[in-house]
Amino acid sequence: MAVRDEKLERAKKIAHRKMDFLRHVIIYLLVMAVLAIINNISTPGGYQWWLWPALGWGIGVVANFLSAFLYSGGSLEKRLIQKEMERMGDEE
Amino acid sequence: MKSKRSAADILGIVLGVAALALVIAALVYLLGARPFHRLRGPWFQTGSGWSGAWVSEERTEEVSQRVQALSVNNISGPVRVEGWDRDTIEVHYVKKARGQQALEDFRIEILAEGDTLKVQPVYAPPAGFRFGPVSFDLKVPSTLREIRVHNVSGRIEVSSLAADVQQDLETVSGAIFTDRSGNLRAKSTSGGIEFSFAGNRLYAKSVSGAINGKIRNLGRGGSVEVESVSGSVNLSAFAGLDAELHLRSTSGSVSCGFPMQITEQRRSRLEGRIGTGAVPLSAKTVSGSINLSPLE
Repeated sequence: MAVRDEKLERAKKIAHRKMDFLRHVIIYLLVMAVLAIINNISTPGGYQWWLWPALGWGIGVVANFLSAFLYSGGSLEKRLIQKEMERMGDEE
Repeated sequence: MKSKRSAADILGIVLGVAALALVIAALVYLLGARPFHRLRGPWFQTGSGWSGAWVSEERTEEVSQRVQALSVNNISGPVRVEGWDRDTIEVHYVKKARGQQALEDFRIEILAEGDTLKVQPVYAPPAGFRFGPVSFDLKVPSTLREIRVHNVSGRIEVSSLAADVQQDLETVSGAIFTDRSGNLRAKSTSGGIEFSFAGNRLYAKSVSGAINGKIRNLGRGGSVEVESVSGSVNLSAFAGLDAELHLRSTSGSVSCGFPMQITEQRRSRLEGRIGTGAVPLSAKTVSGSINLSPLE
């Protein structure tokens, strides 16, 4: 039962992190699209200043993406724990 | 076998990769565009890309109308003014922009108004960030009464004049150099100032640059005010200098090579008179030394 609860908690965490990222990336892309349109209506073919916020905010979004999809709620941590336990087992 | 990835997962990965691609594209564009275009190397070549290749237009115009003053206003690029032995003014400029359209969107105005010849780039609104750099090379007669050059990002250089013409030179980012001037007002926020002055009024101020100047003559009733914030001040003056001296540095040394009657002397402060003290001469800096010596 405890293992099941633990799994449920972890699944909730992962789902929550992924939903957070989806919200973040959609808002980011929408805002950038609006800025790009404003930029190109006011100065057609001119300096693309909207890429500055796209870069700054984008770094945050990419970090969020990596955290939500690569880290995956502790899978790396779990693997590390497993390795450590294996190593300890070998020593014994 | 059931797929482990849900639709939300796939959407998330697709949008994440899109955001990553946008970040990389922004980085590439911004490194190739202003303000990085001065950097050199394969990563910083600006000849192509989404922002358009740099194109330039070079032109020389001669103004035969007789004027008393020259006024140049530039936003980006150096301004060089050189004296010559003709009565006319020659304006040579090179304007640059990213793409032919951007180049055509601004023009160089050369306009004689009253007794002043005005030279400046005129950008079509909305200019936005499309201030294409313009470098000016002007040749002027030494009979001019005044030369006024205001720049934002670029050096100002005045040379080879055959007379002490009054000058008003100001730039935000760039050095100022004049090898011969009458009354002078020189101001740079980020750049050194070098001058050779003979007149009544001298005002030179730099926020982050050294000031090196020669005072070849100083009329009675005039004044000298030289000020830097983070640079040294080195002045050399003609032997007959007659001035009331106020030299003050917050964190540097102060020295004077003229015989003088001292009223106050400390390491960073020197006050007194050279001769009868006819003209106030003050030099200030926050972090730098101040030196006043006789002209050799």
